[in-house]
Amino acid sequence: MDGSSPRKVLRGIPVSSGIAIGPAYLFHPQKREISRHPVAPENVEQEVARLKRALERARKDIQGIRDRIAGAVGEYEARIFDSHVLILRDEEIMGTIYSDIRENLNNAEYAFYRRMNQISDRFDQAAGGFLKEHLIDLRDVASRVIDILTLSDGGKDAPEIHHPVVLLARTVTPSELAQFTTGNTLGICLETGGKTSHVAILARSLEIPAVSGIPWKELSLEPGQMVIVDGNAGQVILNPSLRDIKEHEGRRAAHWAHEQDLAGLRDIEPVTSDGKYISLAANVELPLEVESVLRHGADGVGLYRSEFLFLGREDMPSEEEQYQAYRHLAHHLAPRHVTIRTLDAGGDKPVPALQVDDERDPMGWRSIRVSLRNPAIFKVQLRAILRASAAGNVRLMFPMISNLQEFREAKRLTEQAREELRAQGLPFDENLEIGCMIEVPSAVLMAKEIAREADFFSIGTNDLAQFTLAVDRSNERVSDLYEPHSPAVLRQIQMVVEAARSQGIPVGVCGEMAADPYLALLFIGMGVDELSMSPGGLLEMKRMTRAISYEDARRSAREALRLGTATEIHQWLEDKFRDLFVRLGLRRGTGAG
Amino acid sequence: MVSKELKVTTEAGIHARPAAAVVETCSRFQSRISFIKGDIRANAKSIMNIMLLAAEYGADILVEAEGPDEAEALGAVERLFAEKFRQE
Repeated sequence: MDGSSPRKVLRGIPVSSGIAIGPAYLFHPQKREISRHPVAPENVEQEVARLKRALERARKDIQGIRDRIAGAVGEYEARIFDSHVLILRDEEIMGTIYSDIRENLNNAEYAFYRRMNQISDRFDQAAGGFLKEHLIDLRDVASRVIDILTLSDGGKDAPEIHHPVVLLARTVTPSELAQFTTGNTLGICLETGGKTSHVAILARSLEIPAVSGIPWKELSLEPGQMVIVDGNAGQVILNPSLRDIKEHEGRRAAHWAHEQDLAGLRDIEPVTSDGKYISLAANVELPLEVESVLRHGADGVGLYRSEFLFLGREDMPSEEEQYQAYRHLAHHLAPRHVTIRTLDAGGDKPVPALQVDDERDPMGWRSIRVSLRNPAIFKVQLRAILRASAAGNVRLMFPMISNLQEFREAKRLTEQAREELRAQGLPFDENLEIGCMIEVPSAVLMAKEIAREADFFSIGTNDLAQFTLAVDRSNERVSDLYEPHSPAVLRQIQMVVEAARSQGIPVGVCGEMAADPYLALLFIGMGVDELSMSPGGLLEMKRMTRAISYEDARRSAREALRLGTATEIHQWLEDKFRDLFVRLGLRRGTGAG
Repeated sequence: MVSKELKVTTEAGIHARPAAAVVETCSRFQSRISFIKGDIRANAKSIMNIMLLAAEYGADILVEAEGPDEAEALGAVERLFAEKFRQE
């Protein structure tokens, strides 16, 4: 370790609040941190044999996946795995790794990892970006072998994290982050992913301070050196000075005191000063978030993103596996409601087994469209959700509905699943509510008709805003046109609320906008019944809800919706409520904390 | 030793799947087979070496085969190029 590395301050985007101070853990794209252990000369051949066994195991595993894909999807798709097998059999490359073990007495993990990294770099730099898309293949194969070497085959190098660390990575997938969330991740520093990225949402719900937008190449430090991640200010300090540490310890204490203060609100009802009850619910991805939901005093789960079960794997989760996850939530949160959204694959959530890849087009092959075209797979999920309804208060919700026909079709398949369960004598809640997410403008225009056939509505503001504004949020060149305060977006939300009102069904908002106190106040004023957000934002929202009157919120919504531009609305709201929000100590929307 | 210059006529170039076809074909022969593009020489039985050639559409590849079955090997590679690496 080089103790003389200079102090370095890096600015990024604050994506999850809080302050973390701790030793760095550099998480490589190849998944694991690999260290070098010299091998005793007499054990060198054993080490080579260990690598050969791991390569053979990996080859068999991949062959198994290949056969499954060939059967389930098709021979053409399966052929991509042929190249994976051939990578493992590449004697030219493996030969150089065996030599590295023999000549330099390197352990198998290290020698393999190092060689694979060299090749990845060359793939990355190859002329014309020719091989960039194959990096993922290489990475996939390499991490499979490393996994086998480190976990099962002797396991002497298992890179478990035994002590709290600050995770530094180029990028992590939600499933990778899940591996780290055993309480040992103090903070996260990432290169990619904005506030609304999947990982950011997850970090917030797990209450891990996080900053993104920090270039990986700037991270000039060794594993174990100190790092500060300031998720409030969006700052990362490498090799902090003693003064930095003292100062941030102070800020961390203030942050915790604020959290402590909010914790006092947990068991108090979210009612406005004039007595209107606003349901405050949590957005959840992982069954393990149950504890966080309860700790933040949520009325229930307004959005459980079931796709988490489907991500980062080649096969599909079985009915039993899904049932266990849904049941866990329903059981532990009863009598609170748990709104389970069916698979919302696509966009930044690839599901390989359904041929939903990293398709970037938010208007393409994704979500309910994929489910309705794969009724057999969809019904497995519906059966699992129905069965879980016997264990608690489950609500079923379909995402990205763009017309009434789709909603009816999804309900028809649900009815089929019910009949199957009845025939098998498996219990489920006969009164299970079936709701519709409203996030496509065409569904907004037909909201009244859909409301007649739905038990509840939930407005997905992220997609609704990007579809209404015709702005792909992930395209940086137009992302400044993505304006949550846009009057066009707000008017659509108003239309949906009115449609729900006219048919007497409840309506919630479950996108990121619900967590912004200014917008939340407008939603309350429009007549929204439930706001659903990351658990970490719930207590502040409760404080806000209790500090305002419904009457005032209604008047404010009416006035704000008369304004012509997003900027005017934003300004008007700030002028009117900023002082109050600062006084309440709200971090969001006031820049406090 | 036998050799022949061949042109890549598949639009996407020799990416993962065509590279897999090259390795599968060449591995059936005893001869040493090399793909040469510019000053890079790749062992045609190593998928990573073949991919690292980054042979795009229109690239000229000099194929060399040396060994007891070199003529058959070169013929097989030639057919593979003509059949666009059997990717249809």
